[in-house]
Amino acid sequence: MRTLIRLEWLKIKSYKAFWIILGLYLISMAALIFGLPGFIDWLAEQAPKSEKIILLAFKKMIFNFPDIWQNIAFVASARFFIKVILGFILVILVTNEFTFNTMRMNIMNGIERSEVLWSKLMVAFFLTLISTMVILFAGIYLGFTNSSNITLKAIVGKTSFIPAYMLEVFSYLTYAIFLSVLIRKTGFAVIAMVLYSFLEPIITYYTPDDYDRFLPMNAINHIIRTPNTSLMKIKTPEMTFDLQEFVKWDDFVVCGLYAGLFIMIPYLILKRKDL
Amino acid sequence: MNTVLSTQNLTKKFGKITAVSAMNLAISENCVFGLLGPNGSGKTTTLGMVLDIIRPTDGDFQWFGSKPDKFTRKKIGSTLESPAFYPYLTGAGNLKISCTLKGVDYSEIHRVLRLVNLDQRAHDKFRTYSFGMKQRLAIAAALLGNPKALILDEPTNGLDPQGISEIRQLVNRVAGEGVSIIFASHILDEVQKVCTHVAIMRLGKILYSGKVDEVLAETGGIEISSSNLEIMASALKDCPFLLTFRREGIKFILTPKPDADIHEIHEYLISNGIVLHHLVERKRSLEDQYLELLKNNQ
Repeated sequence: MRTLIRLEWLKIKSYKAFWIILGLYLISMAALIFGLPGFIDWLAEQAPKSEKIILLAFKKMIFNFPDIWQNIAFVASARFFIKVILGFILVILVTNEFTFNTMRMNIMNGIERSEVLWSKLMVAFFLTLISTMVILFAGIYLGFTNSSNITLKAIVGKTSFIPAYMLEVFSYLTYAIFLSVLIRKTGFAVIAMVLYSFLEPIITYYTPDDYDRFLPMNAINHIIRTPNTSLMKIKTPEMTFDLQEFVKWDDFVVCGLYAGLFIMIPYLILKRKDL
Repeated sequence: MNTVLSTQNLTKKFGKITAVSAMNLAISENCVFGLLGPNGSGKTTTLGMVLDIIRPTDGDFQWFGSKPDKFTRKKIGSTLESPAFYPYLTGAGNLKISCTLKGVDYSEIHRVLRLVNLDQRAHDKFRTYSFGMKQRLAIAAALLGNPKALILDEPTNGLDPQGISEIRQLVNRVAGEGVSIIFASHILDEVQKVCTHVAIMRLGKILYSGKVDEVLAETGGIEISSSNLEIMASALKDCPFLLTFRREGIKFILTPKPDADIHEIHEYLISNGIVLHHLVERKRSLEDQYLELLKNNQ
């Protein structure tokens, strides 16, 4: 285990592309979360008076404990657009091992085929942790500066969205590993990853509604759905669609199963195929 | 003697093509074992299988007499096909990874880089290396941590003549330290110079396997020449010690009878008034053997 961690660290430590993409990811994520209060202020300034009050109230509510956890987790996962950057990192790191033939080299020099997978899963977990830390710190900072309700109960309430966010990001990264091991070529794997994100909504359209949430991307995105915060209740009391207040355990399980599948398949591929 | 590597019935099929067919090898300790064969004869596939890179279709193999695992592979230094390293890392950075994989101390890096004359470029990125330098880095990596066995797959590929001779010296030196070496090559001359044992492969099969000395032992005839070739020709016709002879330019190539001695032939020629200015016992080169083997198995 320590060997694998040191190994991956040596590989990424001096890998400029890795740090640049990770930096881009963190910047866009921070910009999105921390830019939100400013963005709402800006909207409020532009808006007519009557709307202004609502928007400012909206701002207050978004960052209110405990709803803030769900809100920023939702914004950060943003369905696709930001997570995909982390996905690219994993695709690059895994397909590199194939293009440089270094996976062969690693195994020849004394690790098991399966350990190649475990070490990449560790990288995935490490990236998930970094991403979650950003959410955590942003939540604490924005919550304390904006929330009107600062009691311990409020602060820890809805923190179940943090592990939910972790699972969401980690599952997405196992999906990236799965595609990389399956396809082996960086370019094709990236194309497949992006293309499927556009393809699945189309598949969803033709799938009976009850089964939509069992499609892989839906399953991953469904853990954290459109927040049903107090404000939503005020603004749209008549709407009953896909809004969520708490993480549902069955969403958690479906997503977890996909993560398991996305680990199992590359495991079998690596175990059996010629490298 | 202990066996380093043995294979039983080792077979690899890629679709309809049989790359390696029912290979039985037994490589004993302290030898430099040459795996000789033309391109596509299955050398790399064989080495890939014993290094767990390629899954055998059938058959078995053992390293050091037991079933191989990752700990066995840590004791084997290997290069396979073209050098595989991370292009964005320096030579030394790449060797750190090899050290970590093998559980070898980083202090080894400088030593092996000096062995292959790469210490000057240790801190340059791998992608800036020439092919020869990449090849040398691969050999350096294989030498990390005093391996018990060494697999070198065409290690002199892409090297200049000086580099080739350096690698040969290195192989000889390492072999002298008691490391068993498996040396794959399609260059005969190289195998002849470096190896103690040889297996000749073609189309996934071993055609011949034995000691290099023994292959060379069979004589290829005696070469002689003198100033008057006409007189020599008529003398040779009556020589009782010869099976046959033939003329090649200004030389005659004699095939003596099995029990005949060069001495006797020489004395006979002198008694016939022929003074030689050239006499060489021709060793039959591996090349002759090799080409003959390939021809017979066409």
